[in-house]
Amino acid sequence: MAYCPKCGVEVETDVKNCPLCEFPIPDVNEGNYPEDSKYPQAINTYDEDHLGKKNKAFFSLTIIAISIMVIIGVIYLVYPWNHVLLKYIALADLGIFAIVFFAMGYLHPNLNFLGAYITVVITCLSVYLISGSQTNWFLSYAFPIATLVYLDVSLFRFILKHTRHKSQFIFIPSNLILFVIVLAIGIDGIISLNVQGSIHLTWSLIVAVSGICIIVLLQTIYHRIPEKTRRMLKKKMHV
Amino acid sequence: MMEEKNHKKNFYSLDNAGVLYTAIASSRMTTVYRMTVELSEIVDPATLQKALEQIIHRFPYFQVTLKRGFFWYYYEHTEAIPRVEEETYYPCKTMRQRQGKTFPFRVLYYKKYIHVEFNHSICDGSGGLAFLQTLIIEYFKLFKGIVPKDLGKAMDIDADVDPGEFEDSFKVYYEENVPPPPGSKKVFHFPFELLDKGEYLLLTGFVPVAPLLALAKSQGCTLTQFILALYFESIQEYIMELPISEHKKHRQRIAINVPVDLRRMFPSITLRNFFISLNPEIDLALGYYTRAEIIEQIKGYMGLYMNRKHINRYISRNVRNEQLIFLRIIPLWVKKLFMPVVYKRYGERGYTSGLSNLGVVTVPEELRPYVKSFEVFPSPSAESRLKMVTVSYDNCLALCFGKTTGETVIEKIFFRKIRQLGIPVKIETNKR
Repeated sequence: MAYCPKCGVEVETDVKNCPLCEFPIPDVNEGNYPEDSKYPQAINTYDEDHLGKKNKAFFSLTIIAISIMVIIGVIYLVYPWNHVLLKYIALADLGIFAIVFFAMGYLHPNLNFLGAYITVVITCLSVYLISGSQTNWFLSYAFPIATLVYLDVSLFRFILKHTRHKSQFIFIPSNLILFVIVLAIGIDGIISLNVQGSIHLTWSLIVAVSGICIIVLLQTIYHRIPEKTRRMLKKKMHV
Repeated sequence: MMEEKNHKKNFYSLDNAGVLYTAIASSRMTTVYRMTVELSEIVDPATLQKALEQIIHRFPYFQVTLKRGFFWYYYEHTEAIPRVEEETYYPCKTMRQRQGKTFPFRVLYYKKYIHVEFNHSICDGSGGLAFLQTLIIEYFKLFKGIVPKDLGKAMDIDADVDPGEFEDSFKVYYEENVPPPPGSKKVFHFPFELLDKGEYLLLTGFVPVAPLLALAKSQGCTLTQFILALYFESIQEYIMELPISEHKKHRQRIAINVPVDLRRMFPSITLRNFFISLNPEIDLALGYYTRAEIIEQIKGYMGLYMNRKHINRYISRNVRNEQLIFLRIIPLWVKKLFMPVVYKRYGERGYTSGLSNLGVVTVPEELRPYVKSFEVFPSPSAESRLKMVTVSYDNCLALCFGKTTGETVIEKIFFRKIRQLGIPVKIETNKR
């Protein structure tokens, strides 16, 4: 019979750590997990149960996407129709399929998100190349804005990951406001850079200042003002 | 003639609690609870299967399959025979519905253990235990040829089915025009990180009944009340050690959901759901509670509320809600969408954790040497991440925790308290 020296409770023979406090239990016989443990090594079937439905949906979508591609290819080769339009349709088909694939979450969330970003950039580049536009809108607007949104959402996800167990009424609004501030500054910067040739922030500063005020207010409500500051404020502000 | 007709009943509408349980069921809130019995020898699967086949005809109301109606789920009789399986998955796994092939329960075995998992929509712990006891008796009848004289709470498989066994007792004892009970307030919830969906951990502490009962007697309360007090005290201690401001600590209230078996209060023999939950609570805004104070609080609460008049308020509220025509005509898929939210808002918001005492389980005298222990585990829940069921058998009390979190801090405080009382504890868990 084995006992946990800290909790004083009896535990199953052969367990390595106390099930309550994780305190290592002096090992009598070396070995892996107890041979005659009460429960088997359990299997979690949640993913498997849900994968079936997802696979079916994804399979149908793949079939549809491939058939569209085949039809477009045949028309392109055989029938002298508007070739530019056909290219657009094929591009849309591929782009939507890639986005749906990433949205279904087969890969790690970070990879899915990166994949969606790359899809957007490639799609924009292809549209740019197909259309043969005079102005270089891909490099001056599409690519910077896509990158900005990607970085901004990454920042949002990072902060959310670290604050999601804290008060939702404080941290989710704070997060959203921060997201909007970064986005506003970025877009303002990109526009001014292209129009005026240098970064010249205007309206986004108003968004930033008011947003930061709200964030500070919310965080103060959550963390409360430190005792020392409160005492000082009380003295200075007494009426 | 009447009985024969009922026996062949093909369609069972859900009872009042079942309606709720099916609507809120999800892959995390599986609404499946588990009963475990430990035998002295390794379980023989073939005999267990045979025993199950022998007894299932005595429980026609369990030989059913869940189906979707347009407005509600319902149970339909199936001719299929349930199969016993070796335990390989996490406990209390979701019960999937496949037309006519799945049952609202499963019988598992692993080494010396038999587990029966019931969907809470078909029966509560009391009904489940009757099924399990019958199964054990039949198993040993086939395995060892033991025919016990006194069956206790188990069913005689040769007897006729009494329609009272599958009545919806909520509806039978429902009284109109009783005002509803007061609403619940928001209480403290464990801030633990959740496990992955589909995972569920069990932790049992076995303690001898006699010393604990003597302690409860010396405090002038029942065993359940004493355990409840220790549980309250553990949660209070946990909150006091949290790294949050004093001000915040004093804003917490702790409430524990305690189901009451209504068969003790009403002359019902139903094996389906028939219970109501009470919510004793302590409010830390009033200060720190000592153990004696918590016991006084619980005793006072139970004295005030555990009577037919007050319980009637809960029954009539629940039945009235179910019978609201506006709720009834909402299609099932809409109900499935908003019921989990409503339940989270109005149901689970009001309690921190749950403690259900199933009382003393017995097996016939002849089987005593072969049956070593009983355990019952609560169904998983995301909002109240840790719940407890207690059941005692053969002078041994099993304190069974079921949890959707990997934290063990509450159990640690709780069992160390029992150790400090000088009572030995044995811990078993499926955590690896």
